[in-house]
This record gives sequence, structure tokens and C-alpha cells, in this order.
Amino acid sequence: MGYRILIVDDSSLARKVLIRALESIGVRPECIFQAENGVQALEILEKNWVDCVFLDINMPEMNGIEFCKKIRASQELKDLKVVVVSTEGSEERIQQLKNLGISGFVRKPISLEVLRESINKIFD
Amino acid sequence: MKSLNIKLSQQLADILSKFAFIISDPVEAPELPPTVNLIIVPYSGPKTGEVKIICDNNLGNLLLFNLIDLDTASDTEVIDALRELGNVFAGNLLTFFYDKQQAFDLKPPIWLAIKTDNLNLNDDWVFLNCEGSILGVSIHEQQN
Repeated sequence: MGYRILIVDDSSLARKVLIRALESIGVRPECIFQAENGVQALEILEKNWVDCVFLDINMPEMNGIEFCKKIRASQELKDLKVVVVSTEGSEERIQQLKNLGISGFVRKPISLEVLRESINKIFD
Repeated sequence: MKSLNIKLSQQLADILSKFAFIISDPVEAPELPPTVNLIIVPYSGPKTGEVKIICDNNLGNLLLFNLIDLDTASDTEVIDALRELGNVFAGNLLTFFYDKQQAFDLKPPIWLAIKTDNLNLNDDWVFLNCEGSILGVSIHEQQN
């Protein structure tokens, strides 16, 4: 699959684990950008087109919620697909993220089944 | 062992198994190395406090080996792995022990190397033997 994705997580391990998880469900993107926080992610998105962002919430500099608000307020990025991959899983948080137009939510530790469902919703 | 600590042990073992395929068993008053890694994850929301974990570097190495087949890890990689473990524990434990409806705000995990003698390891701490590495976890809720 020739997708271009951006993984935003302050943990290098978490980013690597997600890449492995994607590979294990048959998703082999053409291009994987990586960012440690929302600020870096926005810088990457200024210069590069991606099909989907995999986004952690709990990050320094700019967290996932702030990042979502920024892209939804942007004319160029407002329709960008976002899958949140986070350890937080309260109903209030998930509702907040849905209101911000996310396309999927995968709780850490990552379940391959849930990840596959999220991917299928976006790319099928 | 207090009933709350038993629940905490079970939950930690479940998370460790799902996160990194690590088998763990509860232990009481384990012998710790002179210096350990301390990870602090501050949280706020319906309750305010900190999730704390202590462990040696071997646990970080085990995480990295199990998750990404890394045989020889740098200190930076071990710290990153332990911070992510703290993050995963905190998010899961808070919704398990408190309110599943209301959101908690987690801060990025803080890492410190600390002398074991300087730790106040009271009854709130739960310890697990993780395939030979000792892991300690506690939830310190701030009293209003």
C-alpha cells in the first residue's frame, strides 16, 4: 500500500512498536514520517502530504489534543485523518476526541484487532 | 497484602503481559539494587497525584528486547522504554481505579536515577518480579 503516514509520539519505542504493529497487519506505508510532539508534527505537515496521522495524546511541547485543535482550525489540514494511539481511555476523553473529528482510537497497549479496524475504516 | 494492592498487582501483571509479553508475579519486600530508575507520571482531573514506578535497567532491556528485538540498548533507549511503560501504566491504572467516565490529564513521564535508601517504600507500593527484574509501582493521590 502506498500510503504516507505520520507517527507522533514522544517515545521512540512507542513509534517503533506502532510501525511493527502496522507491518504485522499488512500495512507497509510508502513513507513514514515521525515526530516527537505536535509542534514537530505541524512542521512536517507544512512541507509534506500524509494520508493519516497516528497521534499520541500525552506529549511535551504540544499534546495530541492541542494538535487536533490546530489542524481542525487549518484550512489545509482540517480534513486530515487522525488515529489516536493513547494510553488514556476514559469516555470523556474519547468523546472529546470524536468531537475533534478523529477517525479512530487505539488504546495502548495496542490491540492488533483494534488497530486493523481503525485502518480499515480509513483506507478501505 | 492489602486487597487494593492485590487488585493493583493483577492489573499491572495484565498490562505488562499485553504491552510487552512479560510474565510477572507479586513479591513482598524485595531486595532492590542500591540505585534504581524512578519514573513519575503526574496526573490531574477528578483526582490529582502521581503514578510512580521504580525498577532496574534490566526491565528496560527486557521491554526493548520483547518489543523491538533490541539486544543491546543505550541508556537513552532504556530510559525511553521505562518512560513509555510509566505512561502506559498511568493511563490504564487511572481508568481502572478511578472514574472510567471522566478524563485525567497526564503529564509526560519524568525519569530520575535515585538511591534506594532515599525512597519511602511504604505499604502503598506494590512489587512484581518481572522475569528476574523487580518492578515497584504506587499511586500517590494528593489529599485535598
